[in-house]
Amino acid sequence: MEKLPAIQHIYKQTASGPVFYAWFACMHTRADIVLRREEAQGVQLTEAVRNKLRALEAAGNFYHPASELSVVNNARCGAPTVIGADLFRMLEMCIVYNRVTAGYFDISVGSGNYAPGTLACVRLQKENSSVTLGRAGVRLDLSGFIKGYALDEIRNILEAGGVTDALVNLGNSSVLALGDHPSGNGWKIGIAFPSAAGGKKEVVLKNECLTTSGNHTAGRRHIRSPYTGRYITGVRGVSVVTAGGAEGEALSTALFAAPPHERSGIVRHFEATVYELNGI
Amino acid sequence: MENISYGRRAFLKKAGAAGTLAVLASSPWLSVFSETEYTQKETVRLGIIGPGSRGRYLMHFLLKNKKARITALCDIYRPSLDEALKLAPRAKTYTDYRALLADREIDAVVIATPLDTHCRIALDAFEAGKHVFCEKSIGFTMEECLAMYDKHKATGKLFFTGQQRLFDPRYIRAMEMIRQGVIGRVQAVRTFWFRNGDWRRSVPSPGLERQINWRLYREHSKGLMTELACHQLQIGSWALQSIPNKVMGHGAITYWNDGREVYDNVSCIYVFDTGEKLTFESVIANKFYGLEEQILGHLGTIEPEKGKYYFENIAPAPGFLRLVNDIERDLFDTLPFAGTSWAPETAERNDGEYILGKKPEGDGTSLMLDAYVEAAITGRQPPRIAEEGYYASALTLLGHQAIERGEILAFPPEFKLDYLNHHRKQVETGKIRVLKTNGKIGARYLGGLFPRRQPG
Repeated sequence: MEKLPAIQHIYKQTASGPVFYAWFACMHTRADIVLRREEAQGVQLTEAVRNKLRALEAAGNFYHPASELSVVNNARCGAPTVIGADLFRMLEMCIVYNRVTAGYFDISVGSGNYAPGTLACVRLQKENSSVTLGRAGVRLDLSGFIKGYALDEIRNILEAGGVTDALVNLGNSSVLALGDHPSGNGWKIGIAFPSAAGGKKEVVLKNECLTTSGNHTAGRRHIRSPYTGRYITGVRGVSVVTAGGAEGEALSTALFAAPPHERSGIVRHFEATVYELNGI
Repeated sequence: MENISYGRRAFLKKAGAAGTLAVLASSPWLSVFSETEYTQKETVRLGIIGPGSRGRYLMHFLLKNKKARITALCDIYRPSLDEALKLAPRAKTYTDYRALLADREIDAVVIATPLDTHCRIALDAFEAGKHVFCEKSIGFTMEECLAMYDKHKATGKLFFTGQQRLFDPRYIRAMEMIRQGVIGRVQAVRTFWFRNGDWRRSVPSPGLERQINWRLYREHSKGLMTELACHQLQIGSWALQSIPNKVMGHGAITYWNDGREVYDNVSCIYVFDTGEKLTFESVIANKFYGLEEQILGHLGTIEPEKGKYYFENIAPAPGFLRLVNDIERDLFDTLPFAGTSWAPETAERNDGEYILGKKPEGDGTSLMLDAYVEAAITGRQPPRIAEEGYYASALTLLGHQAIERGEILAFPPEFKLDYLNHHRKQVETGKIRVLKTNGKIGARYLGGLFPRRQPG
């Protein structure tokens, strides 16, 4: 079994109690976790989180040829693939979110011969925990969803460990804040974007997630429009505050992809606060 | 004047991303700049003792400070005096430092003479009621260093030493980062200074060889240890907030067999109480690796000379480091880190980051001298600066002793101050060995040249 590097962390005793900050690389991005825990417990919880994230990566990494998702994507058309509980649940959720976002959140948008509605060919069978792709060339990509799902799993781990106050960051675009900062109510998070003019710069999170989708620079483009199949360009973005991470990923991605007149129709399916970020 | 004052405050702010208080926690002597606005109309009158090349280098900075007036110069070497007069034409000149010290128009002195003369001049200067800035190493022996420190304490006059790194923004920020835990627990500090040159100055006549090239002769200097190690060893105790208590070393002349008496190739290992190491190496027949102090923590490395730091794996996020510090200081502030996805590509290279966000410029000499001027005006000794200077020299000299004796030496208790992990030994004021000379009874202190101050 691969030996993982020790958890990099900083631990300090402060007047208000211990503060533990750990960070590590995962899911092609970084994770930052702040807990009010003694050092040994902080390391233990962070290791549990890292193990979970690695398991999710092994299940849902679009780019790794050995991941469960790659096995699904490479399976013969019409042949069921038995998958683990996490991947099954992620696919299940993504299909629902596709429906409630009028198709603007679509994990099949990168498929060959993609057309709106392609996702409908994905069949899930609960009885044997399998997935079948009913059309050739379909490629499912969870890159825009997996971090949000991971935040919800992290929350479960931390709450099971008795943590009530914590701040978790996955790559700056997916943030979970539990309880309170030791010196305040909730956690004050600033959204860093090239221009603050069009959006609120600061949000206070308490038992909530902040998810951002967008292009930070003119050169960056990574989200496709499900209706044109083309990458969305331009410096702009959307941040959403939601109770859970998975719904936040689906909503922010959909709102970023949808034209302005479609957005209010999408939002009404969610309990969320939305911040539009207009770039310079 | 406004600009200078603003510049210092700006420096303090800039050096400490987490705020001035955090800077002062790791570099408390910077509090000297806290009252610059109240001293705007004051000046300090300075005498420069030894305006040779180093002395004139210091004068260049002092001349830029409107609160400093160089009123006197002293040197036994006329060409140095003449050069210094070009910089400060209205200064009085002396060839005997005692005459300069008797000048009531002088508040403070800068001593930049050869090493073996520092102690006598500094002690006389303190006695004469002058504040003292002394180039490093401060003393030729540990006894001399202690005598100087004690005289400073007894007279209450300022004691600054030429440890410019204490005022260098990149070092100050680096130490603040260490204190914040950014590079984890410091395991070792590797210092080295490599040059390729004979370290000689041109001599107009052979009779002046020892006077001008004093660094090469044992009667005046301990060579690379006192002239170079002294700059760097201090980084170890500053980073670890502890004084190493053991040292071993070796020295040799391996290349420049040109009549010099001091080594051109030295290595020392200092050991802290809990086993961390501080090393110094110097070779002056190869310059490839240059000069650096590598501070090795379990999470990262700092190279303050390059002005860079590096992480073992990925770096902690600056926003989260700020959060940790905010929690420590009971602050509830916004953390501006959220946004679009962080890409790992940049983290996979390990080119390091600049400590101050850009390539370093200059060193701390200018601020160090500004600090001396400020302190001379207020008459207040900034915290810990004399002790840092004392230990920088004492460690250098202890390393030299270890090299000479070929032994592992412990830090002698009689030379410990009340500082960091050290506690001052309550000295018997002198184990006195009774000597009989020509039938007369005399006494000699075993401790060294200068008897220690009587308690009370």
